[in-house]
Amino acid sequence: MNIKIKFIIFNTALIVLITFGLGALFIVTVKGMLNKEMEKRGLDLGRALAEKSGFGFALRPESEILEAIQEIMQRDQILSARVSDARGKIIAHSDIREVGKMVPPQSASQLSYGKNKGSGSYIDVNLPIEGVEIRDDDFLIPDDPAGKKDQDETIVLGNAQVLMSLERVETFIRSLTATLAAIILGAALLVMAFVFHILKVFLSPLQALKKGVDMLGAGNLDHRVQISTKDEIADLARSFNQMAENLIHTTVSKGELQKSLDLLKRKEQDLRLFRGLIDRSNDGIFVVDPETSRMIDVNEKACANLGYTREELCRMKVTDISPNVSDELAWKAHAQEVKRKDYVVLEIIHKRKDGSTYPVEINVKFIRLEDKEFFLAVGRDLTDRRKMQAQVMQSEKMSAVGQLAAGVAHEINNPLGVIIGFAQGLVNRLKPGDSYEMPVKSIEREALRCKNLVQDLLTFSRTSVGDREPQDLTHILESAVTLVETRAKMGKVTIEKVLSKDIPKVLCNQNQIQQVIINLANNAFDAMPDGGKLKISAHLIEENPLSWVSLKITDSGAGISSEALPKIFEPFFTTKEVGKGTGLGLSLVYEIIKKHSGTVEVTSRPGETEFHIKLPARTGRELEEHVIQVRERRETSGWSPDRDLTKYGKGSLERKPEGHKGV
Amino acid sequence: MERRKNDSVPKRTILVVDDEPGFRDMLKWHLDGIGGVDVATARDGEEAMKHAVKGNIFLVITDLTMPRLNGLELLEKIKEKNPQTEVVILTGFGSVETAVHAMKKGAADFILKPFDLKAFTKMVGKILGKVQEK
Repeated sequence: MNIKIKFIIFNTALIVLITFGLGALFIVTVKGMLNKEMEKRGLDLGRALAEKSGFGFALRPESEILEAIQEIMQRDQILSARVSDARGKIIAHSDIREVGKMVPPQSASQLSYGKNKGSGSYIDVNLPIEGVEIRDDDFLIPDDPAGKKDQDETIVLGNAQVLMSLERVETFIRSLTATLAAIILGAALLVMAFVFHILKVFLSPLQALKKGVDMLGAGNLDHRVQISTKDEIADLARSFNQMAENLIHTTVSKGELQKSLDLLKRKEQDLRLFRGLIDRSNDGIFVVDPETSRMIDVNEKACANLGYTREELCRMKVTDISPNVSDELAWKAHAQEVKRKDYVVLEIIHKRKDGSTYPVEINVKFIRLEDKEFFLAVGRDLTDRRKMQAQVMQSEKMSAVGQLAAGVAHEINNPLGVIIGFAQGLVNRLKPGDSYEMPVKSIEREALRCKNLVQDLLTFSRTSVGDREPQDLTHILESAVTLVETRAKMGKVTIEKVLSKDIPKVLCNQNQIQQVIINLANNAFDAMPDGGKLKISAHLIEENPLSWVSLKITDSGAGISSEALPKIFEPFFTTKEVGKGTGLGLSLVYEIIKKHSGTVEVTSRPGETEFHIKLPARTGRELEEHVIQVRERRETSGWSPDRDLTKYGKGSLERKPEGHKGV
Repeated sequence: MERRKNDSVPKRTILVVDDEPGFRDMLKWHLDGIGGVDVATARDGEEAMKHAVKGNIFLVITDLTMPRLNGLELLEKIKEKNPQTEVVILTGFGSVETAVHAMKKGAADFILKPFDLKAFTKMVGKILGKVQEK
């Protein structure tokens, strides 16, 4: 229930109660006064009647009594009047029919109120009629024994009764009550209306304020209370508005705070994500101050490439890591060029923390942002690209050499064949001590060397040719080692084999892999002219997601110079003295391994040179599938020029037990 | 007829076919050294066929690349004419596949150029032994 209704009910009830109380009091008082007046009148009339009746009794003129009654009856508001004797017998009555009836006699004055059905309320005034006994008087009342005893005393002769109607009083009271009630109700209504109006005037600004507070509570800080009055409530409203105004500037709601926090969190997340992405870039990124060449920021890749931490790099200058712009002057010139051209792409050298260098392609962009100047440099490590380029070059060179070799070798074959043929024939026919023995044998030997060179060239030109079979690498290694053992013994080289047992089969051309091992072993023997140790080891290595069969051939020779190291796989490159090497052995190794989807790497230092070959290990399933494929291919085509030599060798063996084995 | 009188067993003939005169001569020199066989030479397939029609040739040693009728064609013609005649192919290292192809067409064996006396002697001895068994 709102305050207005409460107030109205309370006020109205109070006023009604008070006025009703006062009205009732007033009516009771008035009624009492009027009744008193009536009583007084009744008593007066009764006394008059009694007096007159007393005379009547004394003188017996009944007419006097009647007269008195009639006189009384003429008065207002008189219902009846009667006179009874001492025994109670009505001797005179305003209603003649009552005469002679008996009523209880009374000796004392009595005033009572009563009510008739017909005539309404009345006042019953009953007074004794008194007389003085006169002893010698004959006409004393004989029947009164009391009269005999108390001879000189007042005696009761009878009773006079007057009934006065109260109708008029009651009518008056009723109308008074009605009037009063009407007045009270009217007043109450007026009061209600008044209170209602007053409340409306007072409460509407309060309600406006309440609404304002509600709105404020709900977070609507823009709401203002409009009050046109010029009282304290208006002051309050002004204060309220001021407060709301202040709240806007000083306070935010929890929801808005949360919103801001979320936004902040998202922004921070974005920033972190961005930073993470930048850090994981494949290129080093540098933010550089163009004035000082100081590095303002770098990404993780830049740190990883250079071997410094970010903190270290951020304290350094570009001139510290780039020998190309090693001093301030060089930097100034460089910075000017970048600013002039907006961006510059150049290939330079970067120096790592450990002093080593690597080639970098730097893309420097001049950026002006928020009144500051930056160089944003993206540095791509060119090591791999250079390696790739070298590989491509190598590969192109190889194929050129191969084509050349194939062409030339065939032309050489015939004259060489003639020389060898005759030389060998002559050697066979030499007699012991023949003076031509040395020259003829020399011809044969040198011709055979030429033959080996030609064979190497041709092997080289046809490394792509050859069927591959799932092969047991350990077996290939063992048989290759057998082939080189004689030379090892002669050269005082011990061979150590470390062959792991878990090596899976490798899809390869047995002859070619054997050739690789023989070439590497021969190379190692050449590197150890005074003897040494040759270690051959094979293991399975896992480099997720691939597994490889790793083959290492390590010698204890003098090592390969760093100048020669990058060139050793190039065809015709040899460090051996003239006439000793063809310069094809290692390039052949490289070609064969490459054709087997493998890799070959060499590391060398004095006393240890290691050739590390990795061939993809095949699962049993892969190998099975390969065998099935090959079988199908063989069944569909009778002959293919790509076939492996060994296979045909075997084929010819089957046909002819002593068939020529080819290579 | 006169020959028969002189030799109880008629000499068998080995035909060497190569367009390289040096190689031809060298092979002939070796084969002559074996003894017991005649060695004829031809510079190409056509010339070789002229010898072949005369008969009595039990072994043809032929190069592959020659002007006018190469080794493979010669092989086919000879095998067509006289399947008994053995044909050995001379081939350079690196073109062994072609030689193998030739063997599928009926060649008995192949000899790798430039030259290997041991392998050559062994091959000839083998074929001679086979022929004598017959």
